Amino acid sequence: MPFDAVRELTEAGLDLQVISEEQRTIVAGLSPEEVAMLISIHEQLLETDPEVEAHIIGGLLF
Amino acid sequence: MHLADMLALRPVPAAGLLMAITRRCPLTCAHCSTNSLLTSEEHPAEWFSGFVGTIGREDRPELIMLTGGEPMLRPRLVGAIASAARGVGTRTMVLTGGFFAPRVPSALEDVAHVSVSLDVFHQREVPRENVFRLVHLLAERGTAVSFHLVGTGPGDPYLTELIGTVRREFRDEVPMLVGRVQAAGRARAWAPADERAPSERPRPCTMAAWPTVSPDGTVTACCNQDVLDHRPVPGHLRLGHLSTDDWRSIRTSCLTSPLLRAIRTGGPRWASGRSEDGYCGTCRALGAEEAARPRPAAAYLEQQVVHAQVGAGPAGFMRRYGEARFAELVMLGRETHAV
Ligand code: SF4
Repeated sequence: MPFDAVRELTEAGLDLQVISEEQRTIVAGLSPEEVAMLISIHEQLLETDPEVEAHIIGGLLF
Repeated sequence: MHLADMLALRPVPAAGLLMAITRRCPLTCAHCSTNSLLTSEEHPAEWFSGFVGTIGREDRPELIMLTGGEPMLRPRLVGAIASAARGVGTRTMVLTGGFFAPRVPSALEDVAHVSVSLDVFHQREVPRENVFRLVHLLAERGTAVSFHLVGTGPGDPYLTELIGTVRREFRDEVPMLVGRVQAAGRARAWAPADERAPSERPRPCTMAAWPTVSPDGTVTACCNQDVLDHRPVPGHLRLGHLSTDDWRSIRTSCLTSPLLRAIRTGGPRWASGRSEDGYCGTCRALGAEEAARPRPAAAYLEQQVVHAQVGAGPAGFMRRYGEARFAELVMLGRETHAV
């Protein structure tokens, strides 16, 4: 089956309802690597105890 | 403005501006990330106030966060910035160690939110009861308040005790932002390296969303302590300087740099295809000439990632950047103190 970015994203649970027709064209042109990136970030944001990058930002988080 | 409402804006590019208006501090906390002393560097107040004076209502940041060092060592400057910011609809937050507690300085009049650092190190310098009194007084006069807490990890017994005490003292009405002591500044000599393992997964850098002003007037793309402390700043992370640039040009650089946008979208490794010493290490190693991989959908991807992070909310942000176990504490009092 050929790669279908919209299907991949929808199946992964990303909300594509909000996008316009123009955006839908952009989404359809996403590479498999870009789609994988979006899905990975989407999954990470749902994790309750995600991995943390030590940013060495000092005592504050802002 | 409640802490949660400020954190909700954190992933939004240029929605906030961080300003370290002095490196000086009267306290000598052992964990100080900026290595501040009373004799540390300080530059003309006009640089900072003049820069804030260039902010226009139509392209303003929603929030200016004043930090240091100890920003309240420059009360007139704090007052001037807060008043000018308020004039264009921008709110000001002050992060302080509260050396003046329990007295409430008049400079805080136009400040929308005061966050006080409280931890085992600060408590050796400013008594806890004075800090509590200050926070009560501020809350009574209608200023939004919060605590910045740090510990050595989720099992830190002092941190657990402190959180419990704050919750009781303020009846769960005052939010807390809980982080971990990091090996920066004075803590570099003793703090354990963060054992939380780095990941190869693409990870947006939320810290690259808000421009940050260093005490020397340099404006950087993020608040990473190594970026703030080392000169020269890597080209892609230097947005300008207070003496030569106005808010509009800083904001434009922040919003339009293809490499910064890619770092905000998938992190430095994803943006560059390189992998050096850790996440920020990879980023800082990138040269000024480094270009982001060309991507026709770059703007869309960034927008989606920002949207997803905003959707994860303030506690979602704290799970990724703070002490995950205590992430929900940023929501305390949110029901009663909405924007
Ligand atoms: S990844 Fe780069 S932009 Fe982000 S915090 Fe680290 S050094 Fe700054």
